[in-house]
This record gives sequence, C-alpha cells and structure tokens, in this order.
Amino acid sequence: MLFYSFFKTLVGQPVTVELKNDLAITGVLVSVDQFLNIKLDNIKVVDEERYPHMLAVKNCFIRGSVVRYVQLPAPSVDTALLQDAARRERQQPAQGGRK
Amino acid sequence: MSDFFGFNTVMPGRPGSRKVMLNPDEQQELDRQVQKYALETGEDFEIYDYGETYDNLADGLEETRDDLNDETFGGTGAGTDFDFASNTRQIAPALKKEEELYIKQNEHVGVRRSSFASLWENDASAQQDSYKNGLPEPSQAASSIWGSFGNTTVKGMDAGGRNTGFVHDPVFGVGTFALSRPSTFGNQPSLEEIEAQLLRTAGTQPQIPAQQERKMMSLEEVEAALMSINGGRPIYTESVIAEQQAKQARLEKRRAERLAKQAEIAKHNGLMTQSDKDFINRIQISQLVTDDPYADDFYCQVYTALRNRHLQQMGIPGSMMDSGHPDNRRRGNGRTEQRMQQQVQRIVSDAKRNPKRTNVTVEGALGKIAVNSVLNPRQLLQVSKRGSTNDVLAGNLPKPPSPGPVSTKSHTVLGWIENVYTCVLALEQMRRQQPPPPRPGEEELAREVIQQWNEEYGELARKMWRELRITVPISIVHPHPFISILNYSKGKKVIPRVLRHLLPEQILTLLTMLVANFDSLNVCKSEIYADVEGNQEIELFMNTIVPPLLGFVSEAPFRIVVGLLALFIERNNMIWVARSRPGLAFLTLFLTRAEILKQGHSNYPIPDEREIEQWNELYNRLFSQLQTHFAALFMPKATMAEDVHVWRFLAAMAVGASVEQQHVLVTEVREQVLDNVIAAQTSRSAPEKAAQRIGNVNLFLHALGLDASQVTVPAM
Repeated sequence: MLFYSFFKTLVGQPVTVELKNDLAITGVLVSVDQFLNIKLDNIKVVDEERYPHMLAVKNCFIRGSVVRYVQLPAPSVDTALLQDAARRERQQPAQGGRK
Repeated sequence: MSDFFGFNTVMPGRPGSRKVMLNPDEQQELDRQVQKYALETGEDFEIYDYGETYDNLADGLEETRDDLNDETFGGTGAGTDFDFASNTRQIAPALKKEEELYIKQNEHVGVRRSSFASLWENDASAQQDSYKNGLPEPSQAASSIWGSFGNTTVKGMDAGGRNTGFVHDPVFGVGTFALSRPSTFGNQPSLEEIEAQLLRTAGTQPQIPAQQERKMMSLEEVEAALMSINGGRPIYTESVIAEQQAKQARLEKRRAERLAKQAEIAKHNGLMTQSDKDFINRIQISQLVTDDPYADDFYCQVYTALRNRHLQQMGIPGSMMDSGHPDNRRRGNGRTEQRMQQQVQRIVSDAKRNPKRTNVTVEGALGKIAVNSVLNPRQLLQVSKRGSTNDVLAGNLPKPPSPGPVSTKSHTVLGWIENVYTCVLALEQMRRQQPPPPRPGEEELAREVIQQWNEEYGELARKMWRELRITVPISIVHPHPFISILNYSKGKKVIPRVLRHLLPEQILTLLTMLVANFDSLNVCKSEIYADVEGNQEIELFMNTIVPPLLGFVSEAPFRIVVGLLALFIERNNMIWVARSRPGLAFLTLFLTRAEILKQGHSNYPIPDEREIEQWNELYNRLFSQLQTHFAALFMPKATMAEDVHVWRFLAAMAVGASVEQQHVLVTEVREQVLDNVIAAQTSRSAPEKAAQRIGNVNLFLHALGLDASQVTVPAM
C-alpha cells in the first residue's frame, strides 16, 4: 500500500516509465491502482527513432508488472515523509498475518 | 348429351362416339389391326369383342323420352353459379392490377429490405421482364395468387397454346390455370414469357443470376439518382462516376463498420445486472479500503495535508486532494457516489468484524488455501527470521539503558535511532488524534477522554526520552550514546521532531548533554571540512539542531546561560571547538544571549552583581583560551560567505570585551580586516561581493564602535 499511496500523490505530474522491454515512455500520470498499473496521458516515447510505431499513440495503460522503473519528478517527492511511511508500514501489527 | 350440367362435353378432335362415327371400312381396318396386335402379343382379344357376346339388351332400353330429363334433374338446367373459372376470368384484370400495385410498393421498399426483396424477387423480376416485352401477363397475377398450381402452369400453357378459348378437355381437367386464361389474350405465348415462367417455377439454380442482376440494377439506379441530384447533369464523366462510387463505397463501408462495431458491443448489453456490478465494485474497493487511512495510506494523507497547508500559506486554496483523485471528481451523479460511500462503509465494518485471514482450511481440502491481498501478498522469499525476532523483541521491550558497557556499533546506534523514530511517529499520530475540545454538556466525559489521552501521550513521551539515552551518565562510554545518535544524519533529523514532545527541563538536559560532550560530535572535528559529505553533515547540524536550541537559549535566564557556557568551557577544548562552525555557533549563541540579558533587553531582570561577576570570569577564561588563535578561526581557503559566522563570533566577543581585550582582538584579526577591505576596494570583485565583504567586516568593527570606512589601507 505504501507505493500505491505514494504514486497517488504523483497524479498529474510528468513521469517517465521504463518498461521491461526497454521502452521508456514519458507522460502525465493519470491514475494508478493497487497493482501499480499506470495510466499515462500525452505520452512521448523517449527514443522515438527506435519506436516509430508509438508516434501516433497519445495515451496508454501500462500493466504494473511490466514496469521496470518509474522516473519521478524530484520536487514532488518528500523523502523524509517517505521514510516515515516506510517505518509506519513496518510497524503495522502484522496485518493479516503478514510477517 | 352435348351439355353436361352446362359443360361442353365434346372432346376435342373426337366429336362423337367411335362406334357411331366409324364407317365399315374403318371398322374392318380396326379389327384387322387388333387381330394383328393380338397375334404379336399372344393376347386373346376375342374376350374383349363385345360384338359377338353382346346380347343387345341395351337395344331394349327406352332411349326416347328424353324430354322428361328436365323433370328428373330439375327445371331449366343447373345455372352457372359454380362456374368458378369463368368467374375468375371476369375479374382477372382487376386482380392483375392489384397485384401490380403491390409489387410496385414492394419494389420501392425492397431495395433496402433485402429479406422482403428476396421473397418477391422472382416475381418482381419476371414481372418486369414481361413489362419490357410489352406482354402484360395476367397468368402471372393468377399464378401468384394460386401459387400452388405452379407445376401445372407449363402444361396448361402448352395445351392452351393450341386451344383458343376455353379448354374443356377432361384429360387436362385440373388445368385450372389454363382455364383462367382469358380468351382475349389468345395469342401464342412468347419465348420470353415461357422463359420467365420457367425461371420462376424452376429450382433455385436459375434464380440466383436473376437476383444478382436485380441488385446491381438497383445500385446503379441509386447512383444515377445521386448523380442527378448532385450535378443535375448527365452522368457520363467517367472520373466523376468513379469518384462518386469510391466515395459512396467508403461511406458505405464506414457506416457498415460502425454498425458492426455497435452490434458487437451491443450484444453484451445488459450482461451484468446492477448487483453484479456492485459485487465487482465491492471486490475492487475492499482491496483498498481501510479503517485507518493514516496507517495504510500514510504517505498520501500526510503529503496532501502538508501540501495543502503549504498552499494555504502561499494564499492558494488547497486543492491537492481534488487533483489527487480525479476519478472521484469525474464520477457521475451524486446518487452513485452516495451508494459507493455506503458500500465502502459496509466493507469497512465487515473488515473490522472479521479480521483478514491469511489462509483458509476448507473441510476435505488437502492443505490450506492462501488468501492473498494487496496487504498480504504472496510470499516469494522465505527469510530466516532468527535475527529479526531478536530485533523485534528489543524494540518491543524498551529496556532501560544499562549502566554497563554499551555497544556503540553502528547497527546498534541505528537501532536506537529507529526506536526513537517509532516513538516520534506514534506521538505525532496521537497529536493528530487529539480529542476535540469538550462540547457544552459533555465536559465530564470529555475530561475523562482528555485525561486518558494525556496519560498515554506522557507514557509515550517518556518512552521516547528513554530511547534517546540522554540520561546515560557521562564518561561511561565514549562517545556518549546520545552523541552517537547525533553522529548519524537521520539521528540529527529526528531532533527537531523530538524537541516538540519534550518538556522544557528535558530540553535543558538535552542541551546540557550536548554541550558537555560537544567535542565528541563528528561535526566538531576539523578534518570533516575536507570532504563534501562532512560539509553536508555540518549543514544538516546547523539546519536541524541549532535553530530549535537557539530558540530555547534565547528564552533562557542568565543563570542557565552562564551554567551552560561554564560547562562548555569546562568539558571541551575551546580552541578545537571554536574552529568548527557548530561550536562557534553555540559560543556566539551564549555570548549574545548573555549580553542581551546583561543589558536588560528581555523580560528577565538584570542579573545581579554576583552573576555578572561569574560571567566576567567565564568570559575571561574563554578569551584567554582563544587568545592567539583568533586568526586561526578563519578557514584557510574559505569564501567570504563561509566567514560570516566567524565575524559574527568576533563581534559577540568584542561586545563583551574590555579595552585591552578589544585591542588584542583587533591586533589579531587586523590582517583579515585589511584583506577584506582591500579585496572590496579593488575593482576585481563584483559589487555585491564587495558589499558582503564590507558587511562582514563591519559586523565586527561596529561591535568595537568602528566602521570599515575608517580603515585606512596602508600603501603597499
């Protein structure tokens, strides 16, 4: 839930999603769900010469499991808060028997 | 005999009985042929020869008195009521007209409605063909009405072709169709007519070309109509036709595609009922729903809260929450939203009632069924928990810092810091859930709640205090545990948050401990200036720890300031400490505060004689320790921005100094003053940099009652 919670705050921000097939897509984050599936708008492929077929695509839905990295806009990430959130997540009384 | 119930019974070509009509020659010839045939076949024809065996009894019958027939069979004949064929013949033209009208109507509609068109296709096309040949064919009308007689039509035609007028032949007695043929169209049926008939009555094979022809005709007609509408001119331009056709085809194709797509989608319409949809929604939402948003959605909650506060400070109404959930905003009408909210509430209460289980054991099943969720994902790694359980135990049981030797290994210290964080987070969470101020009428209840909250809060704060390990006696371990905590950047970062939950005397203890062990801080070590990381640490110390303590000291009474400075000088090597920025900052802090209190600028009374005496003694000690080292406070290669704290300290020293001490100060830093003034006066540096240099120098010179402009640059 930490990452879901985190990505929720990035809605409306430009991000670059790097996929496991080496495709890197820059776009405005529209929404994200608990599986970290990502919806992007106004997308632009980073290496357009290699992927000309993506030129016509304006928005996309990315399955969370194919994402390798997401490049974030640094000003909209509160690292101290993120650390706290991680601490809280760890402290949670083993929810549903989770270790 | 010629009239049987009004029907003409005369057979064509055989007018009369054979016996009567045959002359003796013919009779003989016939007999001869019969005999010949009998010889050939071996048949005994004699038995059929009634001539010999016939006893002529019939001759005895009364053949006369036919005039009584009328009496026997009734009056003046049977009339013609039952003569259906002639009746039909009379109304045949009217029927035909009706039929034509109907076909025409269908032709207009039929172009589009292929299903009907195919029903009427054969007849319509045949009809049209016959129109073209100028042969209006009533039989068409009749045949389509009496459709079941289709097979007889051809026979009837053949027969009717040779017979003019009515057909009375009993051999072809059932030829109703032929009978219906009006005598007015007694001419031979044309080839085309017969072909059309054949087409209609034959199997499916010949039908298909006729149908296709029909369809193509209609398309051409449509195009022609379009052309005439568009241009109003003849449609003989090839290119225009092609273009129009292509356009038409495109439109037609697109429309068809759209319709096909719609149909494709529409076939799934209504597949799910509302309760199905609700069920799916529940499943999806239940993954995300939580009764404690601060626990499961901590980052988002706090982040938006912080952002909103920040925006409000900037005068922008906080709307982060809205932009954070665009789908909420987009979500349709209020009723749906309300229903969703109700569902969410129900899910939350359900979740509270039955806590989630990791696995279910179903009776009869082999093994357990794992129930995975977002909160409880399938475990992919099995890590040995031996080490972590010890940590958890240590965290859960906050053992009071033991007086014995305490390990200061890095992971131990990091563990302490994490424990502090845990407490801080819990405290902050409690702050957020602080009970609201009592409403009128509920004071008693509210007071109880508040008291309970205060107790819990105090307990947690004490726990945090223990975790900070400030009260561990000095000089058992070196460095002191608290200083060890401060040597980590995350230890530094937690201090401002810790201070918010501490009582004033606890802060004083903390400050005392810090001051007493100051030179064991890593930021106090001079070699730390060498690398970037060290500078970051110093920056962090100056930004996190100094400001809140500065705030505390600037409220402190004279007695405490004196005590702290005494401890500072007592326990640390001043030359060492003063060469670090944090050390110098603390010294400046104490000096300025003492000076302010001495001059009586704050709420505290002016310190009495004895306290002033103590202070002067302390000051003199500090001055004598630092004497001959003032110039060394300046960083060897520091930029002037980094020098400002040194000048500030010198200013603080100068304010409290005696005349001799001031003299010593000026003598020692004279070089730096001159350097700065010369650097500012030469045109090499930018104006703002020069102004800053002069400003720095003036910090110190003003404290002495001087100004940079009074400095005379000696001729070089």
